[in-house]
Amino acid sequence: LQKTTDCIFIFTPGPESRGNCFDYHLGSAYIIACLKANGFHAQQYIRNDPARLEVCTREIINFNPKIAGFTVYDSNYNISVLIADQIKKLSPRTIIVFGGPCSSVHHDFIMNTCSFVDGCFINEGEETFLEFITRLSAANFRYEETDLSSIAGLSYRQSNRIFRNPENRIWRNHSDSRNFLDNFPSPYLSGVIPPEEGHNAGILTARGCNQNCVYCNCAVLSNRKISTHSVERVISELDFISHFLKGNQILTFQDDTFTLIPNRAAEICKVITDHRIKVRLSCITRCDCVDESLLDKMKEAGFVSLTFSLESAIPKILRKIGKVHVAEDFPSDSMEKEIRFIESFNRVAAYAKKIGINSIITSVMVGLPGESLSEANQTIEAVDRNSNIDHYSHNFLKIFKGTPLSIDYEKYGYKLRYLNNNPVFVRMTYPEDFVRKVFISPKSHLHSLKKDNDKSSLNILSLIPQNKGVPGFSNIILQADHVQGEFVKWLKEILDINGTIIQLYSGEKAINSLSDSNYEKFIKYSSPSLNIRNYYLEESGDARLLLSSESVLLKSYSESENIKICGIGQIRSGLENPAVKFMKTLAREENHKDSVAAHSLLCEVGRAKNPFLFLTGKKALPYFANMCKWTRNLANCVARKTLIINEKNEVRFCWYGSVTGSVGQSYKEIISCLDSEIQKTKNRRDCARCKEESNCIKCPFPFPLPEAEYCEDKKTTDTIRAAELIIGLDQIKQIFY
Amino acid sequence: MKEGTNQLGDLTVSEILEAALGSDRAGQILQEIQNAIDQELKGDDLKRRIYEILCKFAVEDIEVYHILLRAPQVVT
Repeated sequence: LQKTTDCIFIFTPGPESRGNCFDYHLGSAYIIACLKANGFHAQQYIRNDPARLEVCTREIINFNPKIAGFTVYDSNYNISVLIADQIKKLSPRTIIVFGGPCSSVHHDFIMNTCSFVDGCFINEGEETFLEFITRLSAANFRYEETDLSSIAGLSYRQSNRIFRNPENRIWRNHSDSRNFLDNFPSPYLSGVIPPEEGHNAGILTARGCNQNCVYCNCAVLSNRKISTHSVERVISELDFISHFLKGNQILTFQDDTFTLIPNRAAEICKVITDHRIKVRLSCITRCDCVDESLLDKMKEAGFVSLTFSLESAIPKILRKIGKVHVAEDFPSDSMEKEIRFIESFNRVAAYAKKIGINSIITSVMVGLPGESLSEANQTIEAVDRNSNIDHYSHNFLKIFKGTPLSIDYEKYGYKLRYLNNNPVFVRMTYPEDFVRKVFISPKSHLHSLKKDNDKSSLNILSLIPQNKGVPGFSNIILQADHVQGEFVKWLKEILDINGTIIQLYSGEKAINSLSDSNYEKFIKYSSPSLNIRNYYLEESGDARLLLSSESVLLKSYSESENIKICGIGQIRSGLENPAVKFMKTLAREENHKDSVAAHSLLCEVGRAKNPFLFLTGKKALPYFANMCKWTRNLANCVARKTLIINEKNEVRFCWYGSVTGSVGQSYKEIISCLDSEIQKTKNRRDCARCKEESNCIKCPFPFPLPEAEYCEDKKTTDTIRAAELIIGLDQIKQIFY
Repeated sequence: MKEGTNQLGDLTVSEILEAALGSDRAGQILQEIQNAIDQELKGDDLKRRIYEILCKFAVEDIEVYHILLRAPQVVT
């Protein structure tokens, strides 16, 4: 990346992001391509490894950007605000602007509450941004002296006053929006997004939606107009990207509804096939915008995954939300259109599956206007029964500002509450609160999400080191019911942007009564992450279950699917028993017997002729919370990526370790305290003279083993290879379970 | 994820790979991990190499999962 730029674009991660990276963003890439074509230096801030606020901010400022532009969604709003504020403090002359859907909808709120934001872009940004930077450039980037009036689609602050220009909707300004998007250079062909990133960023063939769904703001933001690329442009991008995708990577068409104009979609597919472009594709569309003939063409073009939005399988509800026909509360007809829509959903899903499109996904929304518990369950059961549907997104209705529903939602009994008086963070109350009682099928994305979160949580709780990156903590384990403001403020110094926060509550009552108010504190005090997972412990026979708030919601989850915590001694004999499953068990060394059991397991693996074959021929082992002390370097006290904090605000690196700091201390102080503890341990044990010095991790906290016994075990038995293999193979569980 | 993989707790590690990816790809993965071990990769290096091997052969399953998590309703 060039180290001086007119404008840097920042797409901060959020709880739903792929890891905690700063990624490319297709929308900002379009703007960057436009700026570059007009002679400006513009680029995306990319960071693939986690980093703290201080590190990210310094890196951004080091580009000497005249403008820092943030792409803001509801999900990354908090982090965008946090970083923007910090940039302004450290570099007051940098002009801070927000764009993206959140800025388009909440620009008034942002301008009124974030004094460090100089401007908000409303709707499409290419023309507005170009005009903005052209005028600034003409004034040599003297912001206060630049005339920004009459730039359509801009809200801005000058002389401490807020000005709001008329909105800009590019398709309003052009009578024929067909192929209008070709006026903008390609983000790929102009080198803004590397083609090998295509499977992450996707491509656009068209923008906007002309449908009438009352809950959705896609159509609102596009003024119910569609603006397209030419087929030639789509093909040239696809052809270019296709040469750089690896293996089975999938390229997604990010259009709101790819086949909204079926003839155009068919033409694109035909040209892909004619040009023999080899690419695996996916898209979201509507079942009433495809037929068998188009599906054949899509299959031939390379589509491997299709998402057909459904929302409800009840005709009356489809009418109320305007999914097929303009919304009506009391239809006077027999709702033939909706009945045909549901029939066509079943028909096209079956046909797509039949011709070999392997991944068929749908989306369902519960809590829709006038919907009863029984009707919501009927929809879910219909999707659950349909063997042609592989997965579905189980969404809870949200009311977005600007949508038709946001005007008359109260008549349906919904109540909205803004957390911290911030309209970006809305808590909804549904009539009868039935959304929590609705059946959630195992096909739902919520099950996948819980499974994914549990796996990641198990990895964190077992303190297995993750990617090293720059200094900073990627994970916080908070063992407390209450979140304090001082704690959240401190996180800004020590926790990576979008790092994981696992909060362990004392019980179900505590999680139910406190998790909402705690979340509000994370927002209020500007947490560097809202990637928060809430768990509580519950006794269950010999073991303890680690349950999350989702465990209650996902009633179809059996007890064995939840995280179980127990001592290794308790399960050592069960490791040979095929009836006992350990996929989601965290085994800890809680007493001396547990340590002996762990050591004997490692010796058994180590004695095998080929330890790797031995382990892969066994069923998957549990996660081990204290395996690190038997490795050479796979420990949290080496990688320093996870901190455990208790309700006394004491800080530890290990479940059984000494206190190595407290909330409020700087990152350097905490690390220095740990270094000192490790050095004292080495001196006390005289590690420098030990024959195992180069192989031993020198665990400073070998509890429950006495120090002498730990040293003796390390000297007399080779545990390293077995422990490292077990940890390495844990990743198979991470990916496939 | 392929059918039947919700019962992974019953399977051995190599069977898990076979259930998820088919025996060909599972065999390739196991062979590549064995090669990494034979090359004496250790500790963090071995762990990272195993992850790279798994991603190389299992990318399709990971990609489909990511598509699923893109909820169509949500724009803001």
